[in-house]
Amino acid sequence: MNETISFTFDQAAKEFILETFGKGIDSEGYIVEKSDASQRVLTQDGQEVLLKDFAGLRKGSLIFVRDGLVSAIKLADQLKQRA
Amino acid sequence: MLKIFDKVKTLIGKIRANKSFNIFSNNTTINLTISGDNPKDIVIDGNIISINPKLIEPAHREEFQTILREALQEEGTPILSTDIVPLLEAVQRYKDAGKDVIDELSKIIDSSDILALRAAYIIRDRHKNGEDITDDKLDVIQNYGERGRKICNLCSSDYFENLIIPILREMKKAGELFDKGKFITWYNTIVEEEAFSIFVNIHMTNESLYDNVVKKLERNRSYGITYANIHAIGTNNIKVVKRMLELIEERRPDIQNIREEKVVNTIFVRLELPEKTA
Repeated sequence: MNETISFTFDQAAKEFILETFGKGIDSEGYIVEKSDASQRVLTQDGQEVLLKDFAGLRKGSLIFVRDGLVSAIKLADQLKQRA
Repeated sequence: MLKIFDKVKTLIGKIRANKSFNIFSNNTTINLTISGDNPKDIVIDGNIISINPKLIEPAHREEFQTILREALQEEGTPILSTDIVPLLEAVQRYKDAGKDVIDELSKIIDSSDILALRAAYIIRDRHKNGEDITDDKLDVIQNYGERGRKICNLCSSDYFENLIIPILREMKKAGELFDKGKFITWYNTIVEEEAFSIFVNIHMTNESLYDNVVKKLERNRSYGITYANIHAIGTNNIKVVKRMLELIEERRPDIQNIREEKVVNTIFVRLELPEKTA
């Protein structure tokens, strides 16, 4: 039997997800390492991520996904490669 | 070792204290939403489950966090915002949008233009189907700046199918002598100067093209831009351009032909209308 599970989160649960993975938010609204608040996390193409733009995580070391169509196209390509 | 699927089922059983556990026990798919707005700790609707982590017991919350870490890092299951899911579905729905054009250009133009073009085709087709594309276009501009906006505009006006690809095919007729650099120069001119260009089509006559060109030059000049580009492809369209140039020479000696390039069956002309002197 092929069992599958998907995880999504809404706006109000963003901080819970970040806390789960040891991340926090700095005073400017950017996602940072909880262990070092001066270190902002980056997407794979080197962009810092604001909490409002945070659209998820995928496997890698810990790959952050930004919201938006362009990011969705890149994510779809990466998920296709993984499938 | 239990799989994530089974761990989630076990955790839900604990949260619900086994109440109504059978509601979803036969499902082979679980869509679990972590919802900070959910007024209840857990809501189960068939295979759709919503958990509010703030309302479950601390021990269950910690177990849930462990499951999420394992799901991502060991099973590779992404954890995604409910905002990006509809976009991912749109990307899937429109996966063939502009495919032929994108395939043809993908080995020639820069990969960031290809990504912008893929987004532009999705935007074009979503717009045709009456879907809201405001945020999508802004996202392309945010990622690719003015160039992204221009690519979207050219794409929505079908210039890729009707001009850029035909130019590429004409130039490729040169076979081994195909000059990729030359094509890229033309392509960049079309993209970068989209607002200052006229693309000749089969419905244009030498007179209507003349009117268009003069209007465009006058309009451009009022914004401090002293030139307009004319692009044409095909023998007949090139003839129309040539006749239009004769009309310009006769009627508007103040307009100058400052650049003219003909490659295979395509032509590019840049005309200049100098700024008015006081």
